[in-house]
Amino acid sequence: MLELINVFTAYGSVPVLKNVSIEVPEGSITCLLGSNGAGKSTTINTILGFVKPKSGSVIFCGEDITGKATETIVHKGIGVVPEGRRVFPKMTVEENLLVGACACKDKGKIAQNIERAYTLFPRLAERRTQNAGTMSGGEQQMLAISRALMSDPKILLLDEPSLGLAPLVVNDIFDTIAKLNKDGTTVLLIEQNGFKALEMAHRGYLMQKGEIIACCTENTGEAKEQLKAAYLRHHSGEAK
Amino acid sequence: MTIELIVQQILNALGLGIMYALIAVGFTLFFGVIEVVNFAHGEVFMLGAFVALLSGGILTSIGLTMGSVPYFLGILVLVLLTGSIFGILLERFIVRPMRGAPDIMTLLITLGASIITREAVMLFVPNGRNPQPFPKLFDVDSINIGGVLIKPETILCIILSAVLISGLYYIIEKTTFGRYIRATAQDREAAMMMGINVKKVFIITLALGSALGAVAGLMNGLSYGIIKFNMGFAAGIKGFAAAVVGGLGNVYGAIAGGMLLGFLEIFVVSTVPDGSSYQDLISFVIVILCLVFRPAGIFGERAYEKV
Repeated sequence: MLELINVFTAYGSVPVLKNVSIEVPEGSITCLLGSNGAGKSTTINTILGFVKPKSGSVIFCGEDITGKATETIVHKGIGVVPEGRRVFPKMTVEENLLVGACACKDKGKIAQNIERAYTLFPRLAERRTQNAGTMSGGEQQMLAISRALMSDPKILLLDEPSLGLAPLVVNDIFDTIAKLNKDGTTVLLIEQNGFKALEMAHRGYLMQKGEIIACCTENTGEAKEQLKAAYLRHHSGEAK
Repeated sequence: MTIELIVQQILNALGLGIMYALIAVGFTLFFGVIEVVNFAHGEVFMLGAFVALLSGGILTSIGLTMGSVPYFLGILVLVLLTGSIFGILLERFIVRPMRGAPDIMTLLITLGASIITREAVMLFVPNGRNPQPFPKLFDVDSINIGGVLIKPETILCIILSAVLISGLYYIIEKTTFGRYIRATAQDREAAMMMGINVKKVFIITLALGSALGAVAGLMNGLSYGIIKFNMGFAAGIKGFAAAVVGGLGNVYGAIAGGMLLGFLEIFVVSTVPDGSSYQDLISFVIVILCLVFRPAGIFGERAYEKV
């Protein structure tokens, strides 16, 4: 569904992504692991057109979206849960959801999706008129996920959804992601501490210094163990 | 001072304050949403007044009677259009090419655009160097209501501003596009990730703010009966002062700031001996005091709420 092919991205003359190829098959949870500064967020920024790759291409649903305007890319069916949640702090929960429905023109559908969000997270229903900035991190994350789902995206990009959340809340969030995937949403999950993410993923990539250094394309325990081992090896290697 | 005189001065202050508020709203919108300080904003005020003056002739030549309702509405529409077009041009030729450039460059370029606009009017409008008399809309100078002398123009300006500001409130708070404007002001990148066309938001914001500034120019012409090519400078400074007082980025703060400035000016003019010579000084003093003691505006921290 979403594919990066030999992508090179640079900020000015500093190369960040070097020959990155990632494939997110339809219906899968694909996770991209890597430590701080590995280039995970740049990968998202490249997919979304915030930075244009120097070479390589981004294919979404068979269409080349490389270097298109961000809003054009998003309107094609990509839902984004940005790093650090980025809910609109001075807007109510309901207004945040309505902004999320930007790519959806059907009023009835929007109302339906708002109800769906409130069913998925009853906590949001309680707080529908509260300003998003006054909510807890976990609640904001729920809102960020619901907001991304408002326009019925074909794929959901989650950039470090566990960042800064209590372990119990993280469990909830991950359960929700698994549930959404079961209902048919394709997921690209980007995580720093990714063992948990890897558990529920069908595919995993490990990124370091802008390169994919390991991947598991099979949904088997063995393949995942190997990726975990690679992750630990490079992590401890970096620490030295 | 008699009660009648006080009421009269309050109405004058209201008329002046709401005019400043209309200019200040533009400054604050541009800063809040686009993060530019647009020093060319004062010129849209001047352009509004000149377009009103020049279009008056055109409208009478197509058969509308001067002072009639369609005549006034025609002028109003032309002024709003001029403001919007000026705003759209600013977006296309200044804001868009300067995206990513240091703030100071954008600021200087808007200042340049301001000078170009002002000089162009001076050179190309017939007899543009001299003050132009602005035709009166009403036959009567003032209406006497229970001893209070009120200029009909003042009433018209207050009503018109109230309508425009309510319209702006409605657009920003109640419409889908207004929601996109607020989202962009609060977090531009997140807004883009939601699929909001930020470029369109910028264009509409500049058009909206500039249109309101142009109407303020029309009101100035109506209220004082005289306009000049360099009137945008002082108006710009005052609008900016009002926006700073209200907290840059806060629309309702800007309206309050404009009102405050209007009331202060009228208060000084009417109570201090020879007060009118200090009128233009007040806004500068206020800006300085505000920047020193309340840099976030008189509403304190809440003023950082953008739009």
